[in-house]
Order: sequence, then structure tokens, then C-alpha cells
Amino acid sequence: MDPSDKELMEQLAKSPFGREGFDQRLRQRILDQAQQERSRSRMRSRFTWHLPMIALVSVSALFLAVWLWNNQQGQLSQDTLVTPAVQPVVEQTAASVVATAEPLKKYALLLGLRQDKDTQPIPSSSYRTLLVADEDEPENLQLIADVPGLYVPHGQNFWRISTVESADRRHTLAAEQVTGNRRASSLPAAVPSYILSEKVSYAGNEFLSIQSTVLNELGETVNKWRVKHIGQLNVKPDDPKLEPHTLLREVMPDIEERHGDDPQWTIYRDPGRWVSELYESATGTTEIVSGLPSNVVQHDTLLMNWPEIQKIEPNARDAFTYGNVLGVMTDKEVIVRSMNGTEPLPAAVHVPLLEGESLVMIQWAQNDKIDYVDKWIADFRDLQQQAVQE
Amino acid sequence: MRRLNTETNVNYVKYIAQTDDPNVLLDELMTAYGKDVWNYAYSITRKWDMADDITQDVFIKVYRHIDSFRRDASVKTWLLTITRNTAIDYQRSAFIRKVTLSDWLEERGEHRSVEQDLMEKWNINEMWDMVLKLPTKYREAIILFAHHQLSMKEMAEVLGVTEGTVKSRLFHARKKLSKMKESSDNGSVR
Repeated sequence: MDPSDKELMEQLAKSPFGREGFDQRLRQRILDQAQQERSRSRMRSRFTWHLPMIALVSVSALFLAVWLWNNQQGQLSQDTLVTPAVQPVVEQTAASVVATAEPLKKYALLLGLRQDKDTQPIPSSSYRTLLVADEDEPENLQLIADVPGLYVPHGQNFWRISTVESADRRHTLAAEQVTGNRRASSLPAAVPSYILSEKVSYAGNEFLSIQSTVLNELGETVNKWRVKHIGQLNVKPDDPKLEPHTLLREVMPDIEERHGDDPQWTIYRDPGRWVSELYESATGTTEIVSGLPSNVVQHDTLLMNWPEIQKIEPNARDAFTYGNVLGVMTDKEVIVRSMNGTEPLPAAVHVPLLEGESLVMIQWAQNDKIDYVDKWIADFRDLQQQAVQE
Repeated sequence: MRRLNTETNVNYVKYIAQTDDPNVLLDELMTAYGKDVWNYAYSITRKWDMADDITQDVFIKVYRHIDSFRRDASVKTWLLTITRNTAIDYQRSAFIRKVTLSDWLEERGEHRSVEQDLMEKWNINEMWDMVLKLPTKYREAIILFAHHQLSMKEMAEVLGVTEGTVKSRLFHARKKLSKMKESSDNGSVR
């Protein structure tokens, strides 16, 4: 039974929490800011009145400073000769930091890039995967692989996200295990009649966020945003309602429930992080959701702030970090480098971007008990060889 | 029962707008509406820190622009409209901000205190708990109706929609609450 007006008003009359959010502390904060505003406003007013006087005093002070500086130059240059140098102290401090630091680790960074193409009659997308890794030793980042296609790590293996195309150029995405004990992947035999095209906006450990362009019941072309577990990708029923996908509440049980019959959500790249967004098709409203669990998005915390990143790469428009590795995307290239704290090491890997390429995957590995860095390098050398043979 | 009806509000703001000292005026407004502004900001954002910042912003805006207040309007409706617009701006900028990445970490709650986390779990009753889980548009409607106890006309003004839309949202909000209650009584998580 629906709650009555009386019930709602009685139960919601009080504030939502035992403690009031608007408390004395916040009240004082507001009064302090108001006071500051008033002081500033008075100062501005005084400043306007006293502007001619201030200008006169400033000019006089400037002349005085120049005169004093000229008189003291000779004395200052003599002092410099007898003052102990600061440099050795600085070097000693830096050396002690390095001596106490943990042993350096090797890291690997796997990037997936998508390029959309205006193909006829249906637009399509192509992908490539880059592997940048410390080869043989830490702080020795190299571009290990630049292979066409999207290769996603899942469990101990890599899966290739490929496209199945129909005779009339419609296409759908499929997943196939390509390393390890390769199981016979059951790739979809046909593209369901309602699917026109599909593209990936995010690929993670287990999940892919997919934008599908489909024909609805009225024959209209509409977009659908869904997240699928990699194991759901190859299931392609003819009825769109039976198509398996993962609801947001299945990965975030605390999220508010959507009662629409067509719940949609997506994950996409915003500078510095992955963002998830809920979409309610009935109303066309969207809602950003933060705090995706780590089985969906991992290592999504920038370890440097934006001014530090821009100091290193002024043209950065996106950045990602893990361990001592900083990756940056500019409009023209991906730049990956090892860092010593917030200072970049001189060597950097530069990979030029193709026109319109965007990031759909950032995955990291390190050498721990198992050396995943070496494993990824070996796997990608095999994959590269397979790609050449194909 | 309404704590302050519209007529009282109009008289009240007429009285305070005649006060010369803006600090006294600000203090009076905060005493009367501080909780309303904060609760509404929280109900939109569901973030304690953000509700604090929005409340501060709302009262500072009021402090700066008290002269532009329409004397014939309800002060509560006026404040809640400013609160809503400010909250929407905050939410929007929180997600599209591209200037300071370190701010994003804060927005994602990585600098929150344990106390704040606990406070947010201390919902006063089950109804609040359920209402705060509703989608934004239904949550806002039900809170303006039942907590702030605005009329349909005032709600439409704050939300920038027609009275018919307000009624429809309230209807759907009730349905959703009823379904949530049913699930809760049956012992399911959702």
C-alpha cells in the first residue's frame, strides 16, 4: 500500500539524521565568510578613494628600492664568495631518500585505443592495444607491442574483443580467449537482426561497457548503453529483451534501484578517471555514479595532482598513474615515463595517436610474487607473431 | 502542519529586509532556514561535505543579493530554489571539472572522515532511508512535499516544472516507496 500523506509528513518532518547537518560550526563558517566579504568590500571602497595616494607612495618606494639595490651590489657579491654552498646538503638529502626507498619494481601498462570510422552504410570502429613495460629491469620502459585489435586481460589470460560482421555490414562484438590453454570459444554465428553496430567505451578485468546502435520495435535507430561481463558477450539471442547484461545494482548493491524496464548504464573516460553514468530511457535523464567497485575498475586513483602533471607535460589532456609510472595523453600522442617521486626520469615512451583515437582500456601489472610484467611481455610477443601469421 | 506558511514568510522577509545590518539579517535567515537549506542540499546530493558547501554558498549569495529579493515571494521557496540551482551547479562541476585532478579525489570521498561516514548512516527512520534511495527527481518531489511541506504551486516553482508534473512525480515516488517497503518487509536486500 502506498504511504499516506499523513504517514509521509510525520516520518519525514524531522531532519534525516540524528545530528543536524546545519550546526553551529557551519553557521560560524558562513558568518566568517560573510565578514570577510564585508571587509573586502570596505577595502575595495577605501582603495578606490585612496588610489592616487597609493600610486604616489608606490612610485616613491620603487625609486628608493632601486637606489638601495644599486648601493648594496658591491657588498653582496663579496658575501657570496664566503657563504658555504647549499648544493651538497641538498644532494645528501636526496641520496638518503633513495637509500631508504623500497626496491624498485617493474611495471607494465596496457592501453586500449578506439578509432571511430564513418564507414558506409554503418559506422564502425577499430581498436589497437599498446603494451608499454619495464623490460628486464625497473625504470626501463619500452613499447613492447602495438597490435591491431583490443586485447583484454581476464583471469590469467588475454581475450581478444573482435567483431562479427553480417553480409549487410552490420556488426556485433565477441570475445575469444587467445592465450593460455585456449578453450574453443563459441563465437556468435550471426549478427542478431536488431543490431546495427557495437563499440566499446570501456574494457576492464571482467567487464566491457558497450554502446549498441539497434533498431527498436518501431524500426527506429536508437543507442543502448550496457555493461556486459566478458562471459556474456557471445550470447546473442534474436530477442533483444533476452540479451544478457550486467545491471549496475549487480556490481553496486547499494545503488538506488531503477524500476524502468530498460535500465542502461555506461562507463567512459573522463580526464583522469573512469566515470559511470546511469541512463533512464523513459525520461532521457542521466545520473553520474561514483565509486565503482574494484572488480569493475581498478587502479583509478591519480597519484599526482594536475599542476604536477602539467608541469611535466603541459599539453596533457588525460593522465593515469600506477606505481612509479605516469602515462599522459595529449592531442597527438601517448607519453609513458617512469617517475622518481614527482620528478620524471629523462627517458619516455612516445606513441603517436591516430586521428580521433580515444582510450577505452588502462590496465596495469607489476612484478610481485608472480612476474606479471614478464608474462604480459611474453604473451604479447606471441600475439604479435600470431597477428603477423594471420 | 506547516512550520511557516507562505504569508508568514512574506511578512518575515519584509521585516528582515528592512533591517539595516546585513549580518543581523543573515543570522536571522540562518536561524529560520539553515536546516531547510542544508537538508534540501543533502537530499539532492546525498553528500555531507557538499551539503555544507552548498549551504554556505546559498547564504553568501543571499547576503550579496538581498536587495534583489522579490518582496512578494516566499522566502523559503526563494531559498530552496537557490539551493537547488547551486546543488545542480555543484554536481555538474564535480563531474566535468578538468582543472584540478586532486579535487576529484576529494569528490570521490577519499578524504572523508569516519565520523562523516557514520553520520550518514544514522538516518532517523526507515522512511528517510528509503526516500534517500529514490532517484533524484522523485526524491526531491517527496522531500519538498513531506519534509519542507510546500504547496504544489511552490514545488512546481522550485523544481521548474508544471504542477501536473509534480503530481506525477509524487505519484511515482509513492509507488516506489511502497515497493521498497514491500521488499524490505519480505526480507530482501532490494
